[in-house]
Amino acid sequence: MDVVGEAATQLGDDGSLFASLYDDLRRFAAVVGWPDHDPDDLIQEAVARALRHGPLVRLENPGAYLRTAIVRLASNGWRGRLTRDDAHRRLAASDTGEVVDAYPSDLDELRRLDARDRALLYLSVVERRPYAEIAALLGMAEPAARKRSSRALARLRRELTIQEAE
Amino acid sequence: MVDLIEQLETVAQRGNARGATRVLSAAHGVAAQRERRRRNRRFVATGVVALGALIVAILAVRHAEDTGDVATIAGATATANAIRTEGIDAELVWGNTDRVTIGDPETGRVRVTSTADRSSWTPTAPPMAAPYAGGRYLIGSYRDAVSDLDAWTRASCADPGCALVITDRRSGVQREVPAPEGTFGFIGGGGFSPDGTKLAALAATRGSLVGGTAGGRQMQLVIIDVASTVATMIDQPRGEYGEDYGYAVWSRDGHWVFYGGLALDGTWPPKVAVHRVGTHDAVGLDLRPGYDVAAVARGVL
Repeated sequence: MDVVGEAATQLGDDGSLFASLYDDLRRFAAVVGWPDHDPDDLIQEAVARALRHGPLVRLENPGAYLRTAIVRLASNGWRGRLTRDDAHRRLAASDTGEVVDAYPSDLDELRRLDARDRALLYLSVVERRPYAEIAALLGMAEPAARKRSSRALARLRRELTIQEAE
Repeated sequence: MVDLIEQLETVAQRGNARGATRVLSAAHGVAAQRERRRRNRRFVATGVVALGALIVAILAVRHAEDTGDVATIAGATATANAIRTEGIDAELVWGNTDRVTIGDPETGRVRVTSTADRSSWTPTAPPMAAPYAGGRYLIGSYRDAVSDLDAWTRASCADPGCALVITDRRSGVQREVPAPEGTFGFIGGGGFSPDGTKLAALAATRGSLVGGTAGGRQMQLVIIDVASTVATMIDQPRGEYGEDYGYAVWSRDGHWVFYGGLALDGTWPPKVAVHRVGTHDAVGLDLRPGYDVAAVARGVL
C-alpha cells in the first residue's frame, strides 16, 4: 500500500478519536497559538507530526500528546515555518473566504504572555487541571509550573491595574 | 480570576473552526507528502552511496591493473605474475598459482588472498633447477651495458666442496667462488641482485649436496659480492631442502632476499626465510617452504 493509501486508511481509524478531541484542542490551540494565526493550522501541524510515528489511535494518550506538540510548536518559532509550508498554502487556498480572527483588542494583555504561559494559565484556570498534569504536558517540573503560573497571573494583574489607572 | 477565565474563554473561541474532519484530512495529506519526500531522499541517498561504492571499486581495479598490485584485491590473484608495488620493503616471488600469500618480513604476519591451491610454482629467471651447459645448474644471469654474467655450478658438484663459477660471456673472464668454509658447497638456486653487484646463492651445510639423503639436508643463504667474489654466510635460519636446489629471489629494490626450499618432511625451519641486505641474518616468515607462495610489499598488508 502506498503512502496515500495508508493515509486514507488511517484517517478512518483516527476520525472518531480526533473528533472527540478536536473541540478541546482547538480551544487550547486558540489560546496558545500566535494571535494572528488560525488555531486549526497549529492543530494540523501537530497532528501531521504525530502521524510520522503512526496512527493517532496507537498513541497512549493522544490528547496529551497533541497538546504537548501544540505548545512546542507555538513556543519554538514554528510561526515562521508555517508561512513557508506547502500544505498550509494549499489548505489556505481551499479555505478562501474564511477569516482568521486575531485576539480581541481588549484582551491584548494576554498576547504579551508567551505561548507556554498562556497554555499554563488556560490549563490551570479554565480546564482546572492539576499542576502535576500541566507540568507533564508542558515538559517542566511541577514546582516550576506553579511558580510560572503565579508570575503570569501577577503580570496580568499588573497590566490590568495599569490599564484601569489610565 | 473570573475576568481572566472569561478572557481565556473568549480567546479560545476565536476564529472559525474548520471542523475535525477537514483538519485531520489535511494533516494526513501533509504527513503523506512528507513521508514521500523522506522516502525519495532515502532512495537518492542509497543510490548515491551505491554509485560511490561502484566508482571506488572500479578505480581500485583500474589502479591495481595499472600498478600490477593485484594482490590487494581478494580473489584477483589467479594470473598474478607481475605484482609490482612502490616504495616496497619486500617484493614478490611469483608463480602460476592462484594463491598468493603475502608475508610481512618484519612482523611475520601473513595473509592469503586466494585459497584455491594448485601449488605449482615456477620461479622467474633463472629457473630454479635450470641446467647449465658444461655445468650442473645455472644460478643466475645478469646483463647490462658492460657485462653479461652467468653464475653456475660445476657438473661435478655432487661432491663436497663444490664451488660456484661466475662467467662474463662478454669478456670471457671466469672467476670461481670457493665453497664457504664449513659447508659442502653450493647447490642450485639463487640469483643476481637487480643492479648486478651481488649474487644470492645457497650452500649446503649438512648432509650431501644432492637430494635423496635421509636425515635432513640444510642450506644457508650466501651473499656474494660480484666484484670481489667475497662470500658472506647469512646466519639462521637455514632452510631445509629436499632437492639439490632451492630458491632465492631478490626484491625489486634490492633490499631483500627471499629464500627457501621444498622440504615436505622438514621440521626446521618450515618457513620461507627473508634476509635484509646489509645485515648478517634472516628471519623466517610464517610461510611453508613450498613453491606456491609469493611475498609482496609490507605496504599491501
